[in-house]
Amino acid sequence: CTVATGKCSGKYHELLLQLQRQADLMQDPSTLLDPYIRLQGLHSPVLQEHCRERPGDFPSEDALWRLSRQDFLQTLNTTLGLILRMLSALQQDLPEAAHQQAEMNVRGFGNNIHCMAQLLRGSSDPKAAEPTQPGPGPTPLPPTPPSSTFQRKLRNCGFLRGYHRFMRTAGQVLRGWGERQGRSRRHSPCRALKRG
Amino acid sequence: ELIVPCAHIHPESSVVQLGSNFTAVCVLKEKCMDDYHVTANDIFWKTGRVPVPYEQYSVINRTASSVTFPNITLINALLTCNIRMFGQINRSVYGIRIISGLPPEKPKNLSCIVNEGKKMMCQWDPGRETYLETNYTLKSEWATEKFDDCKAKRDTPTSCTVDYPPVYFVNIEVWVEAENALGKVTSDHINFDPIDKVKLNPPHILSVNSSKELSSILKLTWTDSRFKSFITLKYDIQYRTKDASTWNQVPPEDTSSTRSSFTVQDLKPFTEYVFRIRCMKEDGKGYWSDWSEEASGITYEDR
Repeated sequence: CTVATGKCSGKYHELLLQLQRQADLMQDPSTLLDPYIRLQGLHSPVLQEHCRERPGDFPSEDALWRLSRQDFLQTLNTTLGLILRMLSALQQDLPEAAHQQAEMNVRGFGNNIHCMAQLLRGSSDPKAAEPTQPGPGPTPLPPTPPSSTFQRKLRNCGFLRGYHRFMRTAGQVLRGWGERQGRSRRHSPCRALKRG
Repeated sequence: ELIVPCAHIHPESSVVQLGSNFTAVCVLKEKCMDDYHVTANDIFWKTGRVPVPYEQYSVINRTASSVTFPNITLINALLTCNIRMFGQINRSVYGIRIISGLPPEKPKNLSCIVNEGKKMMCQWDPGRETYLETNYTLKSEWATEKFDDCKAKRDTPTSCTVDYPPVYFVNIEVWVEAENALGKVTSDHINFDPIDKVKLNPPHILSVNSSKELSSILKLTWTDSRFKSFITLKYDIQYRTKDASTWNQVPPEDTSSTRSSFTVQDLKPFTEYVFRIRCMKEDGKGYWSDWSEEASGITYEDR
């Protein structure tokens, strides 16, 4: 189904597929974490053991699955803001090409989230509007600055690991939208749009 | 002491549309008229070194003379207002640059390509020659962001490469603005996902292996494209015997999905074959890669 939304793709399924593909792209550690690990000399197994996502850096998988579509999109958007701030802080610690591409990919993801939110707002899809508890917003980073450079490196490494994990989870939730779509035609935003 | 010009031409330097009429007026200053004992009757016009035919003048009043160029042709010259002093000394008292040309036409056939590993390049048909300095600017934006203008270089006015990396799976809107002294026009906007404009790097054939058991086959293997993890590819495989000049084509339906090897069958035993391969996005959106480098192999002997 198509809704005129300016530069946004007004086609729900096309936009959903784009969001899924973007998440797939960004969940790949070779795009950001691996170049960071190489550049920062963290590639030994022992060091990698300490490169772990910190709880609270990103919304958990469980939390994301429980959100309504609008809340999920809102949580994604908020988290992307945090990611962009972190990427700008990590600019000197990442290869330039990887950093620039990652930043653009995140901004592109934000663009499609905006388009999807706009599309869903255009629909009276009950699933989109279901009020749920406010999304588990990511905590600002870092509450207590790491004591040493080495700690900071591991801290950032854990953040990037969390970033890829978060994108993997986002991709899975978005794929869930697609599957749920198939099963429950009744909730399709398109049907809602057509009903006007 | 600053030399004060003896006259002034209206309009100042001008760009004029080809085929239109152009009139300039030269107005002498009283002081100069007194100093040199001249009036508007003593004015004569030149373009560059070439005197303008007398019929194109007209004396407006004591101080002013006009010159008209009907249906102006291609010109890029200095138009000077000159006076004949004391009946014999010619002197240029003022000059303007006149250039003729055309406003830009609406750019057409805007298309974009993303060569793998490179930034997006768009090109367009600028239409007729304008004979003027014409600036082409490629504009691009998402729903939520505008990107910096991409100004086409003087020596490549019909294409521009953006300065940001391609972002796949995000629809982008692109158009071209053309502007010169005579006007500004905008091309149609095109809206697309850059993933549908990709031209992949050619595959690299890794091996061409024969089979002891079957003398009519050769198995090719080639490098995987980095894109295979997020788009489905299709391939063209062509082969010929070493001395042939025309290529045979593996049926496209046999190579219409992502893969990194293929066994070519129905070959002649104990014969050297040359292979080449190219790839593109499976749904046909985008561009074929260039052909791979050729690789050859020999089928096994018949037993």
